[in-house]
This record gives sequence, C-alpha cells and structure tokens, in this order.
Amino acid sequence: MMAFFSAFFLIAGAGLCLVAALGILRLPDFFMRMHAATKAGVAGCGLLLVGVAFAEPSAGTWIKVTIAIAFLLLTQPIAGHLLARAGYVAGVPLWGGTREDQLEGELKRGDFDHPASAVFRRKNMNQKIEKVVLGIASGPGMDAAITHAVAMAKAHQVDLAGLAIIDTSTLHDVGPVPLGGNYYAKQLRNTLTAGARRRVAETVEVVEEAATQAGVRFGLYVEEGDPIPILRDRLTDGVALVLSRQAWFDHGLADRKIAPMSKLKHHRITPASEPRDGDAPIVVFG
Amino acid sequence: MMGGTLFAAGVAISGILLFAAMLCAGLRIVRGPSGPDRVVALDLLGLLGVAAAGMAVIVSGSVAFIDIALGVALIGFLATVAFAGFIERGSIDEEEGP
Repeated sequence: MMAFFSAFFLIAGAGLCLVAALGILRLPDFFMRMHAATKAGVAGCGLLLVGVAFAEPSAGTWIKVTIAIAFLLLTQPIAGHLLARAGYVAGVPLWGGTREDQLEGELKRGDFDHPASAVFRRKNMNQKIEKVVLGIASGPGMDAAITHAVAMAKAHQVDLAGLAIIDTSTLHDVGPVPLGGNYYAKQLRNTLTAGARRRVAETVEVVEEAATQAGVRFGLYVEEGDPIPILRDRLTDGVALVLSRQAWFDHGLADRKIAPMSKLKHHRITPASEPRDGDAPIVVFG
Repeated sequence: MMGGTLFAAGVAISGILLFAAMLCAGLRIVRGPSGPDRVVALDLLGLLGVAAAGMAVIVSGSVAFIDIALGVALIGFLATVAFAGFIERGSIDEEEGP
C-alpha cells in the first residue's frame, strides 16, 4: 500500500513539475512564465517530496520533508513576487494580447530593450519641424490636441495635416460570436464603423475651423485599419505627430478604454515629452 | 528501499518526467529572450533540483539526500532574490540624469 501511495505521489509531483517546465517553455511572456514556474513548480516539488517520504517512512524523513515543503511554500512566492516586480520595473514587454495593465501609473517602468532611447529622443527634438500631423480621434483631450497642433503649425510656419484613422482592427473585434450570430456580428461591425465615420466628420469640421481661424493650411488624410502601422508610416523625418492623450482611433466606440500612451509605448513609439498632468497632448517626432 | 514492479515503474516514470522538465527549463535559459526570463527558468531549475535530490533518496537508498533537498529548498531562493534586486537596480531609468 505504501508503495502504491509513494508511486502515485512521485508521478503526480513529477508530472506537475513537467507542467511547470512546459509553461516556462511555451507561455508567451515573462509574467506568465513566472506564474507557471512559481506555482506549479512548488506544488510539483512538494508532492514529489511527499512521495519520497512514503518510500522511506521514518519519523526523521517525514519531519525533514515537512520542513522542506514549508520552506518552499515560504520562499518561492517571495522570489516570484520580487522577480515579477523587477521585471515590470525593468520594462520587460507584456504579451501583445494584454488588454489591461493595472500597474500602469502605479510603478515606474523602464525601457528594457532600448536603453539608448532617451538620447535618441533628445537628438530628434532639435530637428527642424517641416510638417505637423494631427491624429484625429474623438473623445476627451481632443480639443487640447487640436489647439496644440494648430499653434505648433502656426509657430513653425508649416502645413497642418489631419490624419483621421478608423481603428477597424479594434472595432471589428466584437468578442466571441455564438453559433448563428455571425449575421448580427457583421451588422454590429458595420454600425460601429459607420458611427466612427460620423464622429470623424464631426471632429474634422472642428479642426478645419480652428485651422482657418489661425490661417494655417490644412490637408486631410483618412485611413481605415490598424492605427500603429499607419502612424509609423507617417512618422518620417521632420514630422511632428500630435495625438490626444485620452482619445484613441476607436472614436470612443470600442467597449474598452484604450489609453493612447500605453498603446504607443507598447509598440515602441516613443513620445517626446511626458507631462503627467491632465489633457496635455502627446507629441511624437519622426 | 521497497520492491515491487509497480513502485519501480513509478520511480522510472517520474524520473523521465523530471528529466523532460529539466530539459524544458534549460531550453528556456538558453533561449532567453530577456534576462528575467532566464532567471525565472533558473529558479525553476533550482526547484527541480530539490525534486531530483528527493528522487536520489529512492534511487540510491541513502536517506542523507533528503538533507540536500532540505538545504536547497532553504537557500535556493536567495539567488533569485539577488538577481531580482540586480535587475531592478540595473534598470533605473536614464531620465533622472541631466
């Protein structure tokens, strides 16, 4: 009977250890890997030690195994917590599918793979601005961005280009569709896109008015698709891109709130300055 | 030490599983891609070391190996904590400078 218990616990423990190691190998980002290693690892190791104690049953073995498991349970969560914190502060990138970063703004984050980005930024800020591009989204913070972009174009005596993007990649993601729901999902997508187009038209009117009042020449581009590659394309030398701090190109229609700042940083587009206060727009230099 | 084919098979299977787990963790250490990834894999490898010391008790029949498992379980996390401090301090952002 003891042999049966021992074999059972040994296999269960080693199996959990293997699950932990597979998690380390297969999961997509650092934080998930850490999650797998510290939880399944401790459980597997503890079960395996229990199996060992069943195989060599004596008071001494049982006591030592108990102490070993107790210490594993005490120490590994601490190690995991410290490591996750260090990784976050160091700026290890999150998985591309991450929807929400709850530590955003709580902990300061570094730039893990680009330690030289600060120098790069400063160099580019002294460059002459040849064109101001205003990302046209709808929502809070857009007025501040419009004012800023118009003032910038006037100060540098350059043209203002409005870049209206409809983020179809976000708007078309309406969540899991039940069997037979495809027709309604399609309808919902069309409604959302149409709504976004309407809001773009409203915002463009406001921008046009502000530009004419300031005497700045204004041109408009309209694009639909994933905003990040479109923005990247526009960010050539001498371009200053102005974005609202709070409004993203889903035009407030997506069911989740998208923070432009973290979205840009996530895709390694580095803004020029980072005032933490209020509605001050985001400025990116090409 | 106990006999029985069932027990022997159990020990063999768990040994193989443990070996596969070590291979996976080792592969992650080699692959990276970032430092913290490697440290996490190293941490898991330490845990697997505790498990391997436990297996050594059964395979060799010497109960002394359980002390090794206990010792590794006690101090194994220190390396991880030290690495975590190193990563965190090493990443203090450059924006503080002039």
